Amino acid sequence: MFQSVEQFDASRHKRSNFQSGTFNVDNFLKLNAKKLNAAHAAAIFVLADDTNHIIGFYSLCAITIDASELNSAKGSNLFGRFNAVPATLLSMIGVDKQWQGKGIGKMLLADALRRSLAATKQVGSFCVVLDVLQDADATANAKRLSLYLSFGFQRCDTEKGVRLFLSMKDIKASALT
Amino acid sequence: MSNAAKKKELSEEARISIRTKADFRQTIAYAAELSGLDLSNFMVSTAMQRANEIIRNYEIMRISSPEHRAAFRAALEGQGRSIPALTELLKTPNTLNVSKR
Repeated sequence: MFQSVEQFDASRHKRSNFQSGTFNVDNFLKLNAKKLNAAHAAAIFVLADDTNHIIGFYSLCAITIDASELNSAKGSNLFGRFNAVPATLLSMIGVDKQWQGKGIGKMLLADALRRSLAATKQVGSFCVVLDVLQDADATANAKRLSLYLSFGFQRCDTEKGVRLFLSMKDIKASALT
Repeated sequence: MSNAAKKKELSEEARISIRTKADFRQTIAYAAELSGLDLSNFMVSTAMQRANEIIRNYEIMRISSPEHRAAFRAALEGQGRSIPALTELLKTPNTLNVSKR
């Protein structure tokens, strides 16, 4: 049976057994997703099995990037009036342990990028931003980072840690190829 | 304060109960003493400070490294790049045969 990535529906999608192995991700789905989705503060998309148990999910929301310190070599002032750049934050992405290693993470990432680009026709956003999970396994951390960099993501670290961005222009140019 | 006002103020209070290790409690209590606050006030004010910081960072993102800021600015001003690995990724279908676990 084929299932598609679809909008999260708290009354239908079962999330209590979801376990990605990352505490924050699991907690978000179990405790926050329903409330944030209902308030339209996050757009959550899931891939569920034929019994509606969530296999994987991701969450998108709006974010602002402070542009006051972005000095331009050309002296242009693209966002200068507002000193802020609108962006789309891929705030959570996770796959249940039983389904990991089957390319579902990539499937969800591809869906999130396509959806984020499509959404810019309604509300502007310069790029997709995400945090790279940093755990105790340095090799796994480096592998995750290098995978995202291979897709064209670039570093835009904050004081909190490793953060990456990919411009909508890059997504559009790559999707058209 | 009238009884009605007192009742309203009480109804707006909330309780937080936390279970933690004894030595954590001791350290926090010592830090509270040094700050001239009681344990509850110290914990709430410290947590609120951190909560506001997290919310601020979540809503407005600041790129910390000058090198990364330069890359971001270049991306803002530059043309879109066609990236082969991204092109491949974007071709990934959004459907899965869930019978094959």
